[in-house]
Amino acid sequence: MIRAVETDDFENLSRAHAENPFLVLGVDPSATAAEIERQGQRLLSELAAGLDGARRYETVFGARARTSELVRSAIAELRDPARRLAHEWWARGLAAPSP
Amino acid sequence: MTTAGVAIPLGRRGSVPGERVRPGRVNLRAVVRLLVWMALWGTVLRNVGATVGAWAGGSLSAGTTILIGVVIPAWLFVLVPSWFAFRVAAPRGMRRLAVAACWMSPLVRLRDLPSIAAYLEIAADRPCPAWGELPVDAWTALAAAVQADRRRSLQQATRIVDALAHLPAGARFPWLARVHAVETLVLAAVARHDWTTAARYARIGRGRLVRLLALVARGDKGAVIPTPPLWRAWLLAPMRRTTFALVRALAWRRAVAPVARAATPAPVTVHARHVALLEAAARNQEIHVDDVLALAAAWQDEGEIGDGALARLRARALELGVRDGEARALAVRERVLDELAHLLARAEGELPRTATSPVIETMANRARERQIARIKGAFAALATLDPDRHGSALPPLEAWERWLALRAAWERAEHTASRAALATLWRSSVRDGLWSFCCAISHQHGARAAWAVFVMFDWMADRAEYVGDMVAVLANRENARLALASAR
Repeated sequence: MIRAVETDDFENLSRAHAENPFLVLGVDPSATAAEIERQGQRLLSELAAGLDGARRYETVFGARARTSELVRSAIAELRDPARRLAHEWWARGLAAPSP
Repeated sequence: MTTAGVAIPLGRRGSVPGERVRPGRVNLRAVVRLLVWMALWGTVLRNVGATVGAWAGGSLSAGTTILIGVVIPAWLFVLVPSWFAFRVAAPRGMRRLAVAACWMSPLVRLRDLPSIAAYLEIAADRPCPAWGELPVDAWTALAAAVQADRRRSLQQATRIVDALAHLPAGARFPWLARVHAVETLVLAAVARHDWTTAARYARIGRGRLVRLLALVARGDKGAVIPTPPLWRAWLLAPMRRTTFALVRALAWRRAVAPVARAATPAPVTVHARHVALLEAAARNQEIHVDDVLALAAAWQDEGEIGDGALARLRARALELGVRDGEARALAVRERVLDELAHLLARAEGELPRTATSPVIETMANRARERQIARIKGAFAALATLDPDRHGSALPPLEAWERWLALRAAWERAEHTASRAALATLWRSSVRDGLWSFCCAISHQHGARAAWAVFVMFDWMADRAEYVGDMVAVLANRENARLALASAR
């Protein structure tokens, strides 16, 4: 049977935004590389220890599940300056208060 | 190749590749069924009459006699077998008993029984071994929709439901399928609180439960549902214990929730609105062209993808040490425009003929290109079947679903792409390719695919009319007429 390609596309697009590395790590878009690494390592240890607070992160559309894979992927994404540029731009917009 | 003057050959009812089913055998089954009905119901009626007659001893009025002797037996004969099949036997996993009850029901045609049996297997989440051999009809189409819904292929399920909602006159959609099979679909959507999809499914349904769930779905979307009709619908519907909580919650929400609902924050930034619309599309909710155009206007008005924003991005790229800052900044804007075009291609409604801004013009052009590419993709998926080749390469149901993808892409493109572009596409490839596809399905599967082939030829005739191809209109109307005769 044919797969519903279009819905899957939108799911991927939507998930990509919801899994913005700055949202996953819970850091400000202006955070330094050191701050990002520190926060990432802290979250990984909390997840390994099974702390409930680390298992979810907030987005403007509600809470989402945070996993160690997601945290590692977020740290790796933000190590690349070009990718960080795009993530930073979206994260600023998604976190900005109403004017 | 041309479609002019082509008539499809007719297969025998119920024929399968490699097997010739004698029409006499089908008639014999129908005669046996009729005889069993007469014997069984005659015995029941005689016993009821004799028992009540002996008990009453001539004291019953004319009205009571008609009620006991005519109305109740007629009700027992017409409605009870299907009620027993779908409300008693099937929910308890007694599928063979359910099929036997359907056999006893005058509301079920003999040829629908294999499809009903397949539907019952799928509804019970069990594999259906003869899936590829089944005919295409409303029952198997709804079984495919239930299967797609369970796999969360909501778009595929929606396509099937949409096709069933727009069946041409003459295509059978049995009342029992509208009641029970659609009910399964609606309940599946309700179970995951997907009220938008439930409302969409309920549009093709009939029956008290579907009516109640459609009311609750409307209420959930914000429509004002007066409480008395809501409770009345609940009282009349089956599964009252299950639906009580839903109805009570809706009635309660009407009284209390305006305050609670107002507290839910709406997306405030243009970025958040953008992601919210993508999420709505991912959940298969209806989005309108106006919503996407308003979002595009907001992106432009707030200057987030304008030259100023790009300059800020370039400056930030320099700070971060990004080498090709200019290209990276442009890539951010391109991604926004691309996602907007993606949304626009998916949105309901017609595009404005004249673009009001360069952003909207870029989006609209990309959306049109995407639509045309989607038609070509769906068309390529209709395998190049040889109309003269016998033997089943593609099961009829799967063939019909492949056509549904093309149908959905084409009908969406009619809202966005120009008629000239579609006419070119029609004449260059779609007309002859789709006609070959329909003929191949008809040749290979005969009467098992007649219902689907009728629907496809009728759709082709409508599309030919849309692009002004009158020769194809006449040929496809004739083919549709022949397919309908074969399906009956």
